[in-house]
Amino acid sequence: MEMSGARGRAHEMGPGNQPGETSRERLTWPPAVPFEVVLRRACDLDQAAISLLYKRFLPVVYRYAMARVGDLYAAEDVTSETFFAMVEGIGTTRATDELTFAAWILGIARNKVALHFRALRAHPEPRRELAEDAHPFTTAEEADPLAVITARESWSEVVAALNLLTDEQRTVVLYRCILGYPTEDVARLMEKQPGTIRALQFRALASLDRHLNAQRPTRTAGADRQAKPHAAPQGRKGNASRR
Amino acid sequence: MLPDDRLDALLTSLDEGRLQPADVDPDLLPLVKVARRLSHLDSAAPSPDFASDLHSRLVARTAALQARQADFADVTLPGQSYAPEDMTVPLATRPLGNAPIQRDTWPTLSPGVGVVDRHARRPRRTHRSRLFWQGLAAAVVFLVCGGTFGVAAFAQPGNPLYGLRALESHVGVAVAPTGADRAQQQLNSASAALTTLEGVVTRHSGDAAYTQALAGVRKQEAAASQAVGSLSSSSAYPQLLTQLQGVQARERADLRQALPLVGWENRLATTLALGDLGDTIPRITSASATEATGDGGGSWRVEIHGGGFLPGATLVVNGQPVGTVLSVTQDTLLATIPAGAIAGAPHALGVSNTDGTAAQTDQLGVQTSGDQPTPGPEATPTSGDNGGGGTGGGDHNGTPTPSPRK
Repeated sequence: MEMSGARGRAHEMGPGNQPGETSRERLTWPPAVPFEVVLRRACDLDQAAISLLYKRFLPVVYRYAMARVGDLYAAEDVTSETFFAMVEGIGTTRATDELTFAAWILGIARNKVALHFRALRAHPEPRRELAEDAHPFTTAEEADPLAVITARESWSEVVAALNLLTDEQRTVVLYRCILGYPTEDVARLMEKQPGTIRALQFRALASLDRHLNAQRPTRTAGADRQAKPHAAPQGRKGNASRR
Repeated sequence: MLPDDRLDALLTSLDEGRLQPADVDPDLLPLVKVARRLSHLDSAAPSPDFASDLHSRLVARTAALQARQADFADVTLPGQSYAPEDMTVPLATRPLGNAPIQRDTWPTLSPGVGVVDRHARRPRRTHRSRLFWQGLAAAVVFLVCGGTFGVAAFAQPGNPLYGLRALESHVGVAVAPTGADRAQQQLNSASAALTTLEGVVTRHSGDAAYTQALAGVRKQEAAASQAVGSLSSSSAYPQLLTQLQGVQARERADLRQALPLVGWENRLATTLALGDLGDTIPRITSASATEATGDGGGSWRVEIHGGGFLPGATLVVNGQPVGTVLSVTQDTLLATIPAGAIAGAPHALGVSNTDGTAAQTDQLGVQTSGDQPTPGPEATPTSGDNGGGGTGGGDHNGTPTPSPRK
């Protein structure tokens, strides 16, 4: 897999990106409306404030759900349930800033995902593949049909591998690599030390690499033959396979 | 630097564009590749249709919750105004702010199974909402209690709330600060009881209601008399005494008015009350009934001794006006009961005056045609017999001793 894959191209081709600008977007909450004010008004069920929070956290919740359930429609269900729970319970939240509110709403999303898997165990249903008109990825990817197909196949494998990780490893990977939180924020979200988060991240990525290679040995081998012989990453003691 | 830290620094540098993939440490390259593969999703976004539909449903849900709230206070914050069209928040993946997370405040994000987000499921209840419901409950309790006491203040005898009315009166007297105030309160209560009695008589509410009203009048009047009497050395005594005499005069008039309208038992009780007020009332000290002989049996000769008998007084046997009065003086009444007028022997003899007052005794000597006359006990007045201004039971005429009835 090339580093400048679909995601990388998407950022590079972003309309607002300038040379030297960071590849990932950053939050720019309207400075005229502090988050604390919006949150306070949302707690009083102000519709505009609720809409602002929805706009801000929709992609976060959606990506989290997508990464966890790996199914477009299930992710939409989880997202809907999370935001309805947010509206119902926002009067009780004690969030004071954006990060603590993110922790709160992601906690709701995490419980909704758990309920989804519990219901799935009780009533198994055939896994739905992504529809042709589904839009889980960026516009830039859709301009390249091959990239779309590759991305969808690749993502199914990634979700399957993610589900093989431990809960802590999966959470770190989701927050760090998919939601894009800095290590220090992830440490606060999980109430752990940053060093612990970095260790969990290392072990999670090593396990993911191992699982992904086990799922697609031939394809990985073929891709790596063209680039470079695959070398197992070395951990602290030179053993990348440790968890 | 540990591999963990090197990997984290690499990922951060790549994210910020400060490093190219070609510059990555070969040992960590596989892990960086996996991380980049994962981050493939960080640009994913829900479909516009889904986002728009969910937004509409959330707005509708918010409006429904707002409508359901009890308090519709305007929560506009001073100096803060923005419209929904201001919602131009760029969709991003990194939040701002580094405020510490308060422990035990949030549902923990550390992995775990079955963690219940209590904040998300608890119904919204604001402080104002709680205050509203508490105030509403207090208002309901106040209205119920106030309404009950208000209705009780006008409750008539026979109503279950009439006892509560008496309690209110008692409480009013108990909280009066001085003796004069207590006496005044008692006089007011007696006056109110008289008003109730007048209402019962006027509306012909029945003997049961009259009995209750009369008992209330007598109790309140006695209490007022005692309260006023205890203030004989007070400067307010003359005024209170005048009020008491006015209440008693009104009571006397009311009772006299009620006498012809009530039943026999209530007439006896009313006569007693008039006697307590100092009126002259009939009283019976002894009574006898002798079965006549020679006329075939069944007729009785009745002789009643006492006082306060008025011309035209009639005989009452077993609560019913029966027989013919042969003669009546102020202290003796002679009468006959024709055969067949009563069943068996009489067991209660009474006198009914023309002014409505009455007296009765069940302590009488009964002599049938086959009996020998024996001295009877002094007649013990019944409820009506002690009338006569507390002078009852003083005479003894040697009436026959009651003999077993045959």
